[in-house]
Amino acid sequence: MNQPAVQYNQSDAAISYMQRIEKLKDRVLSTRPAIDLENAAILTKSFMETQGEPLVLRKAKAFREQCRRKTVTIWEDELIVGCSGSRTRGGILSADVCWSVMDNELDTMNDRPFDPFRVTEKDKKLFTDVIKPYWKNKSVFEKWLKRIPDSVAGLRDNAIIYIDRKAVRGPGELTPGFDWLLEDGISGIQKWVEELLEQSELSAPNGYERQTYLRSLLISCEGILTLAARYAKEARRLAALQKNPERKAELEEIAQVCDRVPAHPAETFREAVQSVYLYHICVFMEQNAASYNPGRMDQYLYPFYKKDKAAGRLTDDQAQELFDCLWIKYAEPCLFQDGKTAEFASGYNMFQNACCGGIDENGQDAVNELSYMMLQAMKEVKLYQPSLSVRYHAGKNPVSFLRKIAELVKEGTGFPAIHNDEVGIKMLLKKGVTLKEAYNWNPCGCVETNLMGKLRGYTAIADVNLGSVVEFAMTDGVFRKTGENLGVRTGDPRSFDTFDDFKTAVKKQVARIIQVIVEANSVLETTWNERPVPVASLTFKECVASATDYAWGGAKYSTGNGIILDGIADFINSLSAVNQLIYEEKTLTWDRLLSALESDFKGFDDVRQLCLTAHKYGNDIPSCDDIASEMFAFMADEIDRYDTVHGRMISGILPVTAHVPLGHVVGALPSGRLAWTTLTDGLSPTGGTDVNGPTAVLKSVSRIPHDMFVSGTLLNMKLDPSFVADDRGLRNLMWLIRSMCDLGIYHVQFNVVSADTLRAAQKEPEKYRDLLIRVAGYTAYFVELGRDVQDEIIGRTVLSYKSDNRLSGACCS
Amino acid sequence: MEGVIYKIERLAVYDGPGIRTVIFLKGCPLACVWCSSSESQKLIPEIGFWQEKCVACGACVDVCRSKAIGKDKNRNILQHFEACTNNGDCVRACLYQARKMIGGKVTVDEVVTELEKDAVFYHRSEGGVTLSGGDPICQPLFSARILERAVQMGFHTAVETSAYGDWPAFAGILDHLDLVYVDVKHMDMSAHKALTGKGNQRILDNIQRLDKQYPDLDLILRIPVIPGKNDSKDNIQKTGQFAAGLKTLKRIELLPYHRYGVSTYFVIGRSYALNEIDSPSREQVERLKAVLVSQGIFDVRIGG
Repeated sequence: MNQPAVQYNQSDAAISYMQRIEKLKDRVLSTRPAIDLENAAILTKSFMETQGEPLVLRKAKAFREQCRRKTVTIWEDELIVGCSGSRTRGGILSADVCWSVMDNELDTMNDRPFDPFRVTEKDKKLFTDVIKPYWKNKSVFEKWLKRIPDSVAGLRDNAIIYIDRKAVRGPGELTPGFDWLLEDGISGIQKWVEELLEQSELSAPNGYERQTYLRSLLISCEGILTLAARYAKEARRLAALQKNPERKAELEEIAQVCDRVPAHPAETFREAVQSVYLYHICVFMEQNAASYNPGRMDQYLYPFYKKDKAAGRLTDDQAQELFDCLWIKYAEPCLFQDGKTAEFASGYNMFQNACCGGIDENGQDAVNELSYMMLQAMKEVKLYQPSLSVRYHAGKNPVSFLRKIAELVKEGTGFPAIHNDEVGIKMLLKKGVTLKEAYNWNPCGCVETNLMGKLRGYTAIADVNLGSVVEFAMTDGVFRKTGENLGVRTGDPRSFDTFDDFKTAVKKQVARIIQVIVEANSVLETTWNERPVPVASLTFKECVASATDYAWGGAKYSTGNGIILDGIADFINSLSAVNQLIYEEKTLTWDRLLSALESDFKGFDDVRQLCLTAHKYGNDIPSCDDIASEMFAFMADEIDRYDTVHGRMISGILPVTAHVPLGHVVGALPSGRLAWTTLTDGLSPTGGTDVNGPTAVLKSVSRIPHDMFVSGTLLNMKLDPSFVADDRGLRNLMWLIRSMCDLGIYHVQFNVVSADTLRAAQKEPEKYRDLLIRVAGYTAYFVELGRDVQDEIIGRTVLSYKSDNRLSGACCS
Repeated sequence: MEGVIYKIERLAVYDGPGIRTVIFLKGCPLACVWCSSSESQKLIPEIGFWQEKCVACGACVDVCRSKAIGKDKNRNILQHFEACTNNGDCVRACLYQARKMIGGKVTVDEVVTELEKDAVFYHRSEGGVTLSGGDPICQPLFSARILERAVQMGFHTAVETSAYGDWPAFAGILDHLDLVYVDVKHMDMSAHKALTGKGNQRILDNIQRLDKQYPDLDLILRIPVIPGKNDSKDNIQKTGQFAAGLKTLKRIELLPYHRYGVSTYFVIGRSYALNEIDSPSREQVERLKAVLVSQGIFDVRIGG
């Protein structure tokens, strides 16, 4: 893979396959997300029949039943086939993990503000008559509710921490070993498992567990093979009925491909793509969760592409068409979650992160033809999934790759998410992975860090509301919203002689919340042991070898779970304002500030003005940003301190949309933010406060030690379309990206849309059905987001060149 | 060493190559009737008053020692600019950002610190610093010292100037430059004087002199296109003739007149003279461009 990268560039007019792509795409866009209970019903029935058997075996058998019985559909014009449910854009329910997500919302789901789902009367009946009665008191979520420690309950109930996300559905966040799948095929893995079973002794310690687990793997293999065979059969059935000879031939080819993969090692590029997708949907069927990542497709698919090209059996157009078809398939599933969780991460997003670029296992440039094709696929398809990421290595990757990235940014889809490769590699090292393996890291979900087939770790078990942290430090631990004492008693701030005293109080508050989350984590780990995933574990070599499920820590590497920090800018601005106004300039007293905050600034206009005009994060002001460096290094360290059964806890700054609901419980802050309003997303400065332009934003953002937050950090920058309108603009963007790498920033993603466009979309959503917007670490259809989130996006500062300066000379005109 | 600046703009991309920081200096030798940055003309820091942000709390009235602030019969704040001593008391008293000091004294070191903030961006993009204004020529030693330091750090250097100044002082700036933008506002001496307050002979002489003495310097001429004032075919032709004789000329940029700066006049208590003029049409600017191109000037751009 070390040959010079060829830029893949074709004129749009020459693209013959776009007709097919447009049709496939239209099918996805015109389908409203709907609940899909077929799998849940099959699972429930299977569990009724397997009562008393070991859990993992029951899971595997239920999966096999799903493969045997689920609806198998091949839609018109498809080349890549497979669907985890019975319908396109279906949300599937993992009843065993959490059935109650549906129960509470059966009648409101259709109209709820965040991620509504259509639900038919038939499905409602299925749920009420079959699913709910069986699972009541048995699901993983119910176990969690019963086991929540007292210390956690108060904070959880008041949204100081948000911890249910990974309990209401599967944890996801894994990248199956696709390279191994393609190399050995399911039958190869099956053969190895059979050998292991043969060698195992029932009389050995844990002999029964080991054999049971290996059997569940074999049953999972059977399920996958059955499902592929059913797709082959369906393709043949349709071919027989098909009059159009071209489509007939296509269907016959689909049948042949599904005959071979994923059962056998892939021989061709087409087989490899189909194999990856079919296994992908199996993992999803087994457990509804976000962030099952396709990972580094340009790397593991490349040998097949190269072989096909050399043999003359594949053109670049054909390869591109297959990528485009695959991209549309990734846009089909919709993440089903409860309305509350959807509020924290809205947009139906499955967070299936596909990645290109970076360096290879020898530490050298890994960009190849497929890297460009993946970017091109996003340009041609423009759907919200897969989440397309690049690993950009400023030193090793070619400039033409960077140029292609800039061109895709210009398209305004919010893609690709740009990851600084060197920082990503460091994060993996900090997770305990060897350097050579770290070279092969891949982004996961929105901006998390992962390693194909080798790493376990749930990066977002809980969100810490940093707004509440500041509040507690000022109120001696009292939660303004209810008057309860939920924080630590850190004293009356009037008694703080120095800013250091205040910082110490803040540190104590945050340390306590972290400790509570770790306490919750101990409990969660025990409940999570009860949701094994044998289908996903199949491509984790160490899981198979040790007969230990992925969920139980069988993967080669494991980390403790991750804590997410929210409200970054609000936190920094509040601390900075206290320092500047009370301790440095002495224009405010604690007394006056506290009275103003208590009354949400009503009658304290002058105090609010002082607060608003104090130094703000995002302007490259050292006195303000120094506080950020110190406090965030402290928090990352504090989280690192805790060891768990799976390794040290990890931290990240990737709020998804949690900053919106978390803001609703935080009173007025010294930053000048009013009570109960939304917090600021990710690493971004608070909208309207960054007045020194994008370079200053990047400089401030770089003052947070990104590599310490090994789960990833997230930065959105919205660009006015004029920023990248011409060649010069694209060059500027390329330089910005390179400079961002120099600064050690981990991730950036650009939205190129105008606020006017967004307002128009709010007025006439039907006309903007395909308007994609970067929400926070992921992209969603703008018109499908809740109004709250929409308004918040519009309010983010539009960073652009000031248009009047384009015309102004020195002293004239 | 100190100078007076009134604005710093980062990620500037239209004032020279790459990503740049533009330092806007106070003071200008000319006073063009179309000036879009009236607040830059005086060399001293001055008070700006933004009426729309004012809540009429009266804090400024109380602190003003020169009786430059009063109230009208509706209790709106009135600013008497002619009486103002620009001491800044009212700015410190205002909590609503309705009052700001336009311009302030800074040292060369402070400017350099500001420039260094975006060094990483300059190096990646081969960008650097541009001194603008106002006109840096009004603070020649300050400008030269900043540019000298910028060159030492490897930044690309540019200046936007009227070139109206004494040659030795101007040359002191040119010594540290990679690129110079000079405005040619009118070729006719008396028209130039009527529109800008000064004649054009010194400007034209300086341009020819720098063209001879600084052969490695890139020169870009800019023509503000002010409808009815300097956009006649005859004037543009004469400008073209003059430009065609310059060896270091890189290109000519036509800057269409705009009115974005009008509101600032009121902020500093001045009136605007060109209320009857609109921006030139695209066609008109294209016609002027064609005139220049026909004279053998191959690189003519519209806009900066």
